Amino acid sequence: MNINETIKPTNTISAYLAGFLVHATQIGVGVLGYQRIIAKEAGHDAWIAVVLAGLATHLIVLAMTHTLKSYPNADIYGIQVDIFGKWLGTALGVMYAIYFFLSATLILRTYVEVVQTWMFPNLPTWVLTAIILFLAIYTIMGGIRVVAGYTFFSVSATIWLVCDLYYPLQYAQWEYLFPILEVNAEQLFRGMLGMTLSSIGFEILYVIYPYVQNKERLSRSVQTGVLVTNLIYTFVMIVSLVFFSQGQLMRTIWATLNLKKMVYFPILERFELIAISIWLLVILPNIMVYIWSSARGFKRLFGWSLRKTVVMILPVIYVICLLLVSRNQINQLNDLYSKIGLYAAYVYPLVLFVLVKWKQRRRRIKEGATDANVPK
Amino acid sequence: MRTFQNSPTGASRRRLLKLCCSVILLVTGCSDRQIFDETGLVTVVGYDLEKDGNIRGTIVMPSINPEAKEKIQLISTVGKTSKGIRDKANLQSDKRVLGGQLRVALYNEALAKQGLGNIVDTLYRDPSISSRLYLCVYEGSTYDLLTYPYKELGDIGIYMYRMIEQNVKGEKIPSTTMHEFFRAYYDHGIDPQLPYVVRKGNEIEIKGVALFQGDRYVGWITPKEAFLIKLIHGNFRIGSYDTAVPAKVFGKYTLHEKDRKKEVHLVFDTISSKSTIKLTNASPAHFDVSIKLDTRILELTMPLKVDKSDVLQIMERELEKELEEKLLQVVKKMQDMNVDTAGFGIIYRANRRGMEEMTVEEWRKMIKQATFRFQVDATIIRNGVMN
Repeated sequence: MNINETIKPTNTISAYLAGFLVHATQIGVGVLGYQRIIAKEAGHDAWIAVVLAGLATHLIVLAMTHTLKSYPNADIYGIQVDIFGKWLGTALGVMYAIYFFLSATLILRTYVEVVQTWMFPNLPTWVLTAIILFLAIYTIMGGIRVVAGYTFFSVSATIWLVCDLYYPLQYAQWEYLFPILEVNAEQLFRGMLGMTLSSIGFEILYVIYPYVQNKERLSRSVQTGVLVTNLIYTFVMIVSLVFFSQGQLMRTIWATLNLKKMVYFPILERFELIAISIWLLVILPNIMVYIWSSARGFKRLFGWSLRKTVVMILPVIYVICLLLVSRNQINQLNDLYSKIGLYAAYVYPLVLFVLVKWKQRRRRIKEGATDANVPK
Repeated sequence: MRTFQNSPTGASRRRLLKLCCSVILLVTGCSDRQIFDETGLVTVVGYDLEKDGNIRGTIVMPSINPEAKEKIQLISTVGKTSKGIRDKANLQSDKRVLGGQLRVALYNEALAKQGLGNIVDTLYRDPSISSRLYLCVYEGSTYDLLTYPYKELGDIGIYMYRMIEQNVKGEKIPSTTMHEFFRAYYDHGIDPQLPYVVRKGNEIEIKGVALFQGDRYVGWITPKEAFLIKLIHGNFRIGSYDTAVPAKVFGKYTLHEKDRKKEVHLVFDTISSKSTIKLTNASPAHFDVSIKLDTRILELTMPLKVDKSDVLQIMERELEKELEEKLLQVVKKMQDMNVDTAGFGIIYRANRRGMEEMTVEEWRKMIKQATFRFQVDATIIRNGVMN
């Protein structure tokens, strides 16, 4: 396996689209109900936890871009083989690919669950899952350019949904935010951990990196994408904290949808139903990018073609989605996924960053400090 | 190039795609359909406590049958839970009873005294019911209220909704959506309040505001007192207030000498107010409430020389004095009823650290012992188009 890759110029995407991809993959089903999880730990200071978690994300993304920059054109699968050797590297690569695949499954199932709870209680899971997966496969077959193009469309078509927070703000009770910073550091940290599920998604940078055209602009663009995500999360969190009382928030599973329940127009009484439908646009990039990343992993590790891998992955996702029936099962799996995500997307990139830097330094020393052979 | 080589498979693949797309488009129509003619959209629901402890639910749906004489369709059933009531209501209806358009939920006084928490909870849990639903307390039996043959009111559900909405928007009564009820109910720092509705023969009237302790109804206050509570903790934009002052305070500014022994009634409207509450002492709690309000004098029952700025100043001072006095009274009343509708608990919590977990008992005790000071700063910014 080649650690570095050559991508045909016709297959590359520009740096700003990479920013869009990262942002779109971060925002998914997590934003619909993350408030309760964080407020459970950090109380009315939950927004501080969100801001801190956002800063942590910026740092991790910085570490990731630096890791990737150490190689000319490698992705995580290649880097791992380079660092850990063929066997361990491949094993870790498979784990990462399975993680991506699990992400796609859970996002899909959680969304279907939202639709079933809020709109169509008797809609069978298999119908909606099949339709969404079909849309996903159709786009993925077009390659990363098509996925990126769709992501751009999806973000620009849904970003205005933030504006509807104007309606719940009319009911704001600003005293709920005070006194600021009443929680201790431990609670705040646990609140930050609760943010994992909603803010992961940036780790797909590890896979799309070889496809990015103008890599010198990548860091700025991805950081902007993450910043937009963080701003949205912080804003939605603050609105939720002043709109709900703490006891009420603890009982609200999908707080963001409850915020949207307050929106109404003369011709449209129940805005949340529209919002849930539009949300399909938001979660489609998630599913596509994750499935693509997973399939790409298998291609890199074992040389299977992307199409074949996707066709192999999809039935598995489909079956897992059908096996998850109750809200409890989905919740438990989401909790587990959040824990895995914490290690896969927050802890591991730091470890990898240190290892890559260490290895490069050793290489440099070995080769007598002549920079000539160091991969740049 | 590849597609060119495999053009037969390319064509069949495209055909497959077309097939899949058309199937998806067709299948979407097969989900849960709700045809308007086959659904009964409930606009108002009333709950009464029966003598045996069961709950009687009465629902009103607009009737869209052109042959029917009545504009509304009424169904009343008895059950233990509100969803059970809805299931039973289906047995009496030719249409599927749905709650998506529910605008007003009424609870009778006896039920409200027992506690509304559980029965409102089912409404809040149901995603098809709007959070902007208005809740109300009705003095007698809501069954009587809804089944009474009103001549002029049309669809009673829509009528009640418009009546409450109009008064909430006009700031005559506090906003009492289901969301706000629940927010207060789950917050150990403020008590919920709902409109208190009565029927006088042919007419329905909002008599005042029902105060709750937790989810239990404890008593009602007049809209004027409700105005004062909102003045303490909230902002007005278009409020109104009327008062009477003895004419002698205006002294020489009264036009006619003989008027000086009478009372002058003053009506203020488009009141915009802003209050700041300070907790100046923690235990026992002392709240320092300062309220700034701008208003317009709309009506005075006696000719006065309002072109003199002194007259307006006298009015402002009188209004301030009156409000400060009344505010103290209403706070006393709340303390006597052992409720905290104004939300002093929230202020207390927001101004002290380590109070996030304040229990209900601590909060009630704090309010019982609390002292208050009010300072109103009124400005009359307009006096209509006449001097």
